[in-house]
Amino acid sequence: MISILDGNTFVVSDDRGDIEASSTDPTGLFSYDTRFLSTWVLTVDGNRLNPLSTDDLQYFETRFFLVPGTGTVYVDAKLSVIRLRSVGHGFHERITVLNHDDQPASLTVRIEAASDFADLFEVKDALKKKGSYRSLAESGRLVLEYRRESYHRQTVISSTEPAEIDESGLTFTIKVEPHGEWTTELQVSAMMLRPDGEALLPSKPTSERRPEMLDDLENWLNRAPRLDSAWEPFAEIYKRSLVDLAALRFTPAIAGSQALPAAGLPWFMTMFGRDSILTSLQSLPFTPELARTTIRVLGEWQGTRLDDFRDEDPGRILHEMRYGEMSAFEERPHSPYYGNADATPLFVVLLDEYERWTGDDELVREYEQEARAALNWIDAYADLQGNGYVSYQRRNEETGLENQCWKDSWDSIAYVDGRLPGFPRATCELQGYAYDAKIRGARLARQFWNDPDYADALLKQAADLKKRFNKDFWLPDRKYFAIALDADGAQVDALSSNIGHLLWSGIVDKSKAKAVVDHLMGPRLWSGWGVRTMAEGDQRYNPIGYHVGTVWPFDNSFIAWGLRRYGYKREAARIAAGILDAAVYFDGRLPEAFGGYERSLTRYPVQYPTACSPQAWSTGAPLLFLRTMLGLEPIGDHLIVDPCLPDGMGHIALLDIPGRWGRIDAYGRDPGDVVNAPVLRQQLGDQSMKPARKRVA
Amino acid sequence: MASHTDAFFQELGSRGHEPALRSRTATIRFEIADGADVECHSVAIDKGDIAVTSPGDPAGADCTVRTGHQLFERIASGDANAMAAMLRGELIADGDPELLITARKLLATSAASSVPSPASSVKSAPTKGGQS
Repeated sequence: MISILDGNTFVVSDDRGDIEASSTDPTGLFSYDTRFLSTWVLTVDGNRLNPLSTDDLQYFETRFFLVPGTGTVYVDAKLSVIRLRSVGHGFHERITVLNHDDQPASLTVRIEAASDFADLFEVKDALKKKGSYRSLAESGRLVLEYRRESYHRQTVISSTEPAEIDESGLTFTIKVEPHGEWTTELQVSAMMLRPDGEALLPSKPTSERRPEMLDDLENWLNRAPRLDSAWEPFAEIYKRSLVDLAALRFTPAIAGSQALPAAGLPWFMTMFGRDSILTSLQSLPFTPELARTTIRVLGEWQGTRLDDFRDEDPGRILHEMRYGEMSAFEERPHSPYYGNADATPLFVVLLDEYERWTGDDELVREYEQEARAALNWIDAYADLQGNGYVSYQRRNEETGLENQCWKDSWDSIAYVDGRLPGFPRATCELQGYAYDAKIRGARLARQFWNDPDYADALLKQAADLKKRFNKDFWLPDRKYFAIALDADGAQVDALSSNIGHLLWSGIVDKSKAKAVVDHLMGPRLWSGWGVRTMAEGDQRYNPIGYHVGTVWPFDNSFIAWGLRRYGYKREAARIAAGILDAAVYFDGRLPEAFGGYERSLTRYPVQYPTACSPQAWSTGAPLLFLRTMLGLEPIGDHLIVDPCLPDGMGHIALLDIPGRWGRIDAYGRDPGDVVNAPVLRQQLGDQSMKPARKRVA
Repeated sequence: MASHTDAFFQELGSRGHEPALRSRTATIRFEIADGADVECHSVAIDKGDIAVTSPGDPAGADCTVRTGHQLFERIASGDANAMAAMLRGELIADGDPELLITARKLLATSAASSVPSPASSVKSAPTKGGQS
C-alpha cells in the first residue's frame, strides 16, 4: 500500500496507484474523516497497468512508473505510463503516456471513479449509509455526490485534456506520436458543502498548495536543529522523524491557521488531546511551535459544561475531534469527544514545559484561566470515588470510551491473574500526571499569575497526593506500583510499563525508585528492544497483544525521560539504544507498536499487525531519546547538557537547539568504537553506556 | 414562557465580562430564521467585555452564524451541538470559522449555568488578575 498525506487528507492506493476499496479497508482518498474516492482505476485499452517502480518523492507526493500488461507477461513494453500524484484538499494527478515505438499509438485511456462517502467510523465498524448518492457527468467534470438532509459532500473530478465523461469515469481517446508523449492533469476535489452550495470550510486546490508545501517542508527541516552523529543510521532516523512530523501536522479547520500534530495514519488523522500533547512534549527542543498550537487549540476547545454524550466536563481537555457524517448527526460523540482522564493534567504539564524551553510567558498568561480550569478539573470532576485519586468511568455507555487512559483497549488494565477490574478505575500514571500538573501549576501561579497562595495550595495538595500514592499503590511484597486502583479502591496488581511514567512525573519516592527501575530493566518487562506494556508472567501477557505485551516506542521514550529524572542515565541510554536499533529495521520509521518477543528469540522487531504508521508519538520518540541521551534540561535561561550515550553511538552533535537562550549546540561522546552494523549494540542486555562529561551551556 | 434564545441573548447582554474570552476581540452576528422572519443579534467582544445589540449591523461582523430558530433553541438550551450542526450544514458560519469556537464558548457557558455541578465552579481557584 502506498500512502501520501497532508494534514487530515490522505490517499491510500495500491502500488500502481489504483484504489479499489472494499467497505472495510482504509484505502481511498480521505479528507475530514470521510472517504471521497473508493474507486480510482486507470486502464489503457481496457488493460490494467503493472508497476515497474514507485517513488515516494515527498510525504505528499508519489510517482508511479507503469506499463500495460496482463499481469504475467508484458504485452506492450513499447508504452509506459507515469502517474504523479500530490495530495492537498483532495489530490492532483498528472498522467503521462509515453510512446517508445517508431509508430504512432492510438489508445483509449480510462479512469474509473466512484465514491462511497464512508465515514471513517463506518469503514472501521462496517456500517451502512443512510443518505443517497448521485453521479453527474457534466461538461468537463464528473461530480460524485452524497446527501443526507442538509449534509452534502461532493467529489469533483476534472481534467485539463478533453475527455468523454460518463457517470462512472473519464475516457480519453488519444493518439501519441512516435517517441512522443501525451499528458493530462486530473484534479480531484473533496468538497464539504453547505445547503447553499458554498464550501463549509475554506480550502485551496492541490495545484496551488503544492509549491507552498515544498517550501514549507524545506523551511521546516531548515528550522530544526541539525544532527551530526557518528552512528550512521541516526541521521536517517532523525530526518524521517522530522519529515513524518511535518506530514502529520494538522491545521484544525476551526482553530487558526497554525498546525498541531495529528495522531497517525490511517485511523487517527485528527486532533487528539493526549497524542497532540505527548508529541508536542517530545518535539519541544526541535519544533516548539507545535506545542504552542497544541496549547492554543486544546485551550480553545476546553470543556465548559457537563455533557454525558460527549463525556464533557468544565475544564476537561478534549480527547478526539472528528468531522465525518456520524459526528455530524451525533451518532458518535466526537464533535469533540472529551472522554479521557490524562490530557487535562498533561495540558498543564505541556504549558509549563513549553515556557521552560521557550520563555514565552505571554502564552502562560493568556491561558491562565484554561490552566486553572484544568487543575480544578482534577479535584472537582475527576475524583469519581472521592478518595483523592483521578479515575475514569464513561457516562456515554454506548459510544464512549471504556478505558480513558493511553492504554485504551478493553483488556489493558488487569490483575495479575487476568481478571478485569470494574469502574471507576484509577490508573497509576494518571496520579503521576496529576501530581506533576500541580507542581508545575504552582510554578506558573507563583511566577506568572501573581498568586503565591494558589501556588502554596497546589504544592501542599501535590505533597499530600505523593504521600498517599506511595502508600496506596505500592505493592510492598513485589516492590512495584499497582497499575490501578479498582472500584473498591483495591490494588490492580499487574506489572506494567505504567510504572515508568511514574518516574517521569516524579511522584515516586526516591527510596522506591531503584526497585521500579529494576523491574523496568528486568526480564519480565525488558524485551531487549524496549520495555513491554505488560510484563511476561501476567496472565494477560501476550507479546502481540495491543497493550498487554507489545513494546511502544513512545512509552519507552517517556520511561527513558523518567529514568533520567531519577538519575538512571545508563538505563535511559539502554532503552534509547534498544528502540533506535528497532528503528533501523523499520527503515527509520518507528511503528506505533511492535512485538514484545524476547530479542534473542526473533533477532528483529516484529511489527504489530495493524499498527498505525506513521504515528505521531512514535515519530516523536527518537526526538525525545535525543533529549534524554544528551541530558538536555532547561534551567532558568540556560540549557544544561549532561550527555550519556549508549555504547557504539560514538558522538552526537545537535546544533542550533532553539529556546529561550536563542540557539545553542549540544555534544555527547561515547569513548568506545562506533558500531554501524544493523544489530547495533550486542551488549544491550549487559551494559550500554559510559559516563560522559557534563557542561553547562 | 420566554424562549431559550431570548434568555440566552438577555443573559449575554447582562454578562458584562467573560473571562474565558479575555484574549478575544471580535464581533459575531447571529441570524436566526423562523420562516420568513429573521431575528438578528450582534455580539461584540472586546477583550472579554461583551455587548449585545439587536438587531445590530451586519457590516463589521467577523463571523455570521445562521441557523433556523428551532435549532438555535436546542443549541441555546444545551440539547444540540453547534459544531455537529455546522458539519451537517444545518448551521452556517460565514467569515472567520474560528469564531464558531468563540460562539460555542458563549453558548456553553450559558448552558452550563443551568446544569448541576458536582463541585464548585471552575473559577473556584483563587485569582488575582493574572498579570504579574
